[in-house]
Amino acid sequence: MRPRRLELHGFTAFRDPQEIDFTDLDLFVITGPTGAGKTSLLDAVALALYGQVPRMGKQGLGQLVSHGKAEARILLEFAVDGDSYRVARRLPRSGAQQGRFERWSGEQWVDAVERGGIKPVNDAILDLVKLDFESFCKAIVLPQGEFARFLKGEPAERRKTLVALLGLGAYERMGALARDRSKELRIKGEQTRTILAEQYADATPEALAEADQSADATASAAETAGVTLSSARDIDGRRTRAVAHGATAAGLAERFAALAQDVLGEVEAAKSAGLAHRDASERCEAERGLLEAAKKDRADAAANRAEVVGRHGTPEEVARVADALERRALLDQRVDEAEQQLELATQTLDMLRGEHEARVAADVQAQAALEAAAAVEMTKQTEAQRLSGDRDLLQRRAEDAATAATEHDIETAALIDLEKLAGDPAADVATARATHTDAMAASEALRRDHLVVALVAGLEAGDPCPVCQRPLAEHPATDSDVERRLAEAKRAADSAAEAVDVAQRKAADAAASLTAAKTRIGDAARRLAAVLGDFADRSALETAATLASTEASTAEAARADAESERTAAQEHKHAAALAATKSQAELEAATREQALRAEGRAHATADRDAALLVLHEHFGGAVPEDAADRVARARAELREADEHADAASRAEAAAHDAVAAADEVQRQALAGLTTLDLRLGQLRTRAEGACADLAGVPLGFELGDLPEPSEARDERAEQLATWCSTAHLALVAAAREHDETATVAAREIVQLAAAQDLEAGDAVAALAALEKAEKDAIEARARSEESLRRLGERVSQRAQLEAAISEDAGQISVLDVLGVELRADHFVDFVIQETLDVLAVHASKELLRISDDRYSLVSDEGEFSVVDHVNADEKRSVKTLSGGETFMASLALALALSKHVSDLAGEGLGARLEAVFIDEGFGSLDPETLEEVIDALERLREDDLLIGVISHVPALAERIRVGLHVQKDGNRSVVVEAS
Amino acid sequence: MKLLHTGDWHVGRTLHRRQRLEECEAVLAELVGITADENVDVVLVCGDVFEHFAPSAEAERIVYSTLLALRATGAEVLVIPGNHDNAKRFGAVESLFRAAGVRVVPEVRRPTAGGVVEFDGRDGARVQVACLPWVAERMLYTAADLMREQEEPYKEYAEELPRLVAALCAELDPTAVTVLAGHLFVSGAAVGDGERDLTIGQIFAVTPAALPTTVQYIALGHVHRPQDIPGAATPARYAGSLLQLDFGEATQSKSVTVVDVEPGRPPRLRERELTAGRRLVQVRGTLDELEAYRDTEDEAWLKVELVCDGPQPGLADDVREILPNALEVRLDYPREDPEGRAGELRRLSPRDLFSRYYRERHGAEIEPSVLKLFDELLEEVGGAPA
Repeated sequence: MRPRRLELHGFTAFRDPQEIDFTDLDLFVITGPTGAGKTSLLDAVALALYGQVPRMGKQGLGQLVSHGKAEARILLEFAVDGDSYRVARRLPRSGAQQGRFERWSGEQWVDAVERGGIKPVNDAILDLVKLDFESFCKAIVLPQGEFARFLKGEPAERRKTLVALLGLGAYERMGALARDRSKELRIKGEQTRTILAEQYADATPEALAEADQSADATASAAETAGVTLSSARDIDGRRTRAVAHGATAAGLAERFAALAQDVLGEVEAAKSAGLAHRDASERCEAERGLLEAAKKDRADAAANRAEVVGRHGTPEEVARVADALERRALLDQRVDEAEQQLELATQTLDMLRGEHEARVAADVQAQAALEAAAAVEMTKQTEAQRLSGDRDLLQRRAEDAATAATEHDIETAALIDLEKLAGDPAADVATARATHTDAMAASEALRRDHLVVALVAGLEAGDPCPVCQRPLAEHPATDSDVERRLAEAKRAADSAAEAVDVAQRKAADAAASLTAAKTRIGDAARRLAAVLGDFADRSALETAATLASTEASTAEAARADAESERTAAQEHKHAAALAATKSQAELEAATREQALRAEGRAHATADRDAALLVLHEHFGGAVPEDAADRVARARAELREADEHADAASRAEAAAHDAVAAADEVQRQALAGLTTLDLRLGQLRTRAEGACADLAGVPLGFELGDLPEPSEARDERAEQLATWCSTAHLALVAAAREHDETATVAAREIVQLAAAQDLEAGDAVAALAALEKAEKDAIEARARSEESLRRLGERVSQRAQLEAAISEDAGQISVLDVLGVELRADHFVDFVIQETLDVLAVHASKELLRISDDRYSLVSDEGEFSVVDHVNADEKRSVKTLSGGETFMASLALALALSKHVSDLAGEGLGARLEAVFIDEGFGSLDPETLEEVIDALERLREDDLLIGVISHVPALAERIRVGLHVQKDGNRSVVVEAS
Repeated sequence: MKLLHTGDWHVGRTLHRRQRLEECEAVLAELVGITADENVDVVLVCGDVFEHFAPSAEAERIVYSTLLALRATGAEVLVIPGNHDNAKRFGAVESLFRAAGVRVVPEVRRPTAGGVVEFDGRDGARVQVACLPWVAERMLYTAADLMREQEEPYKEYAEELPRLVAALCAELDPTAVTVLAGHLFVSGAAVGDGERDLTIGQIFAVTPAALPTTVQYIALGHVHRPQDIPGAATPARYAGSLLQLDFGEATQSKSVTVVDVEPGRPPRLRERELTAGRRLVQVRGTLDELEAYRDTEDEAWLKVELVCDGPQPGLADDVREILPNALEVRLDYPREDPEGRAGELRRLSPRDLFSRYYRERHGAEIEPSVLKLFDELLEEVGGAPA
């Protein structure tokens, strides 16, 4: 394990995030004042790897969280055997830690544990680093005061460390495994023996031979049963065939008997059918003669009718002429009526058209009147609006003028009040000034008196006069009260000056107020004048307003009159429009009526002209007088010819029906003959079928072929009947012979069964009994073969189990050997002793190097001693070493452990130490020893080992130079790279 | 113009916990005497003045009084820190030094910002000294930035440091004596055991060809054996330490270098041997043979190789009874090779280890069936059988 990078957040004194890069470090010092958190850096490494810290373990880790932080976070990147890993932990102030362990895949970090939770993370790291927490604290982080423990401590403790470091627990686990396995094998052996006793006692070779014999016996019994069954089946075959032949012969005898009966029945029928067919043929000839005569009559009647039509025309033509004759007068009358109606409609139309034109003219006139009335109304309205506007304008001006006048009056009154209030300010000022002048004069007089007092103060009679230098005759008189009065006079003057100021301010204020009031009066007068404008005064303005009001009212009345006139015109126009619309509708109706009447007249004329045309065509020009009689005659002749023709037609149809009936009778007679032929054929076929069924049935004689059929139907039937009767008798005899044969065979089978001790009433039962006996024999053989096989298997299983027991017994003895030898106090002790010896050799090499060839180390019965090479190889107990010597020896041991622990442990076992942290004070060392220590440390630079030394001794840092410095600033620490 | 080139005082250095302050003081007094004797104009102290980053007060007293005594001879004194020195401590007292007439250049500076120090000689000549204190690899980037004209990518130490030196020496005055004083490792120099291994590794080595040609003399500190740099175009030299600091230096004689130089002319170098301080001596032999040395090496510190059959309690005392100054008593006897055994064990698979265990415990070979089962179980618990 070699740390690469450490990140701290909120851990102990490192409140702010810290990142430490170990990548480029080999030998380095972590310096800093006591309490700055140097050791915390190592604690962080331990916490990251194990979730616990030295001296504290797993409890109360929350107190490692920086003050004011909710949690500490630590991330450690490290390498093991060249692979990169990182572990991150989150340590809350209270509650469970969280952890994540990742491996660098070459491209990215991937989770190195499969399950969540903190325990898998701890387990995975432990598995990787191969060093438990205790050993980590002893071998990698060499804590303060414990550095020399491995060197000087108790053998048991050393042993414990080595077991962990070298992974020697593996041997103890192997021993335990061997003991467990031995125990398992013993238990298994016991179980097998029990099984043998309980389940395999009968599986002996003797039993196997016995079973073999019994299997042979059942096999031969099965064979005998098979042979007997086979001959019984042969006999039964013979019997079955005889029974079948007998039955067939009997059945055919019955069929021939029935056939003879049926054929005899057809003989009479054949005779009567021949007679019926002859009668039907004769009647057919007679009916055909009658039909020819009827056909000739019908042709004659048709010729007669054609001649009558040629003379008078067809009955339809004659009917049309009769109709035209009858309707001629009526049609003429209809034409006249239609003419009259058309005339009436035309007159009505003309009248309505005139009326409509008059109404349209009236409507146009009403429209013109309405437009004129509207124009008048518009004019009146414009006039009224103009006048009303004038009136409103003047009235508003009159109101504004009144307001302005009122304001002017108010301001004027206010000015008068102000003038009264102000009185005469100039006079007040003059009075105050006079008072002040007086006060000043009084004060000046007193000041002069006071000066004199000051000058003469302290003078005595005879002193020179301060003014004229002549000696004073006497002390000059002074007014002792002058000072007080001067003060009073000054106060009076000051207050008089104040009074002047007050009076002047008042005068100024009054003047300002008056000026303001006058300005306001002027403003009001200007506003009034602006409102009045052209008008001389307010009364002129008001008169004008009143006049305008009257004019506006007059105009409004005129506008109202115009409006009512326009309304009347509107109503008139509306009525005229309605009348025009109505007459329009009437006109359209009359036009439609006239068109209808014209059409009616055209129809009537056409009908009449068509009737005339028919008559002219029939009579070839004029219509004769007796036209009606001639028409009646023609109609009678036509009717008679038609009746003749119809009668002839009916006679012909009846003759036709008679011929058809005769034909039908003849056809039925023929069909009767055909049916008879068919029946006789069928009977012969039946006889032939029965003969075919006889094939294969042994009879003991020849039956002969069927007779050839003769021409006459009745003879043919008699012949066949005779043959069938003969066959019947022969077959009855054959059936009786076959029954005899079957009875003999059945008796033989029953005898065979009896020979096998099987009771049976008939052949079928006997055969069934034989078959069952054979099946039983086969099953018995299979059963005995199966039990033979099974016994064979169990005999071989028993042999295997016995072999396994003896094999396990060998394995148990081997396991027991290992179980004993791999106990902690056997092989592991041996390895530890050996290891300590080897370790001493390696440590000596290191020690010689770092002590400049002075010391080496030997191991004796698990205790270390130092050999002093400059003192004749004197051997000294490690307990007597000085501080520097102890340090060097311990360091040498630690290095030897670090470098060789993986060699010593054996392949695949043991941890690989790639880093050592020495947390040692060094503060107590004298300079000489310190130099030795530093020299010793410096000699380590060449090793490919990360060696971190924690010290607050400045000289150490100065000499090693490379390092990390932990700075403490208030209650937070930071790590800086020192160089 | 006469220069005295020294360095690698390592005041405060102990040998097997024996303080050597008295020896330091004595040899420094000798140095002051030589300075006065030679009428030296400028003393160049090329790094590793102290042994420790945090030197003791006594060590400081010795160094500071020596610097004052050197100045008192009338010589100018220039000090640069080496890899053992705490440059910041020098920086802290730079102005105090200056007040006392001692110049110190605690870190790499631009030529115009104190990186080049100028002194006047008694003969009227001037000397310009370009100062290159120890530049740790980690500090190089910052130091190189100072000198860099334009943006260039950072290169390896061995490539970058010469650029820095070239920039430092680029604009020296050709009418003055020009010198580079530096604390660095030049490849090809012969090394004893006393220098720190690490700072002499290849990454810190500068090739002689990369040394500047724009100066007349290159005064170097860092390597304890006094020596000229072979293959340098400009005369360049390690003055070496004052004492034999380590048994690796036991055969070396120690000196300071006196340089006579005029502007534009090649310098003339002379060694003045130092004799103060105890010698370091290695002796070898059986106890009987060591008797021959009894009372002969009272003043020297001894490293004794005792030829014997093997370690025995009290052997060291026996040796010291004969030779009380034996700081190291190493034994010479045929040793078994523990490495071989360790290698053998390391190659053992769990299976072989178990076989061996069984053999040792039971005195019999293990049954193959047991071994086979061992393999199976090992696979089951996750280990791979051999």
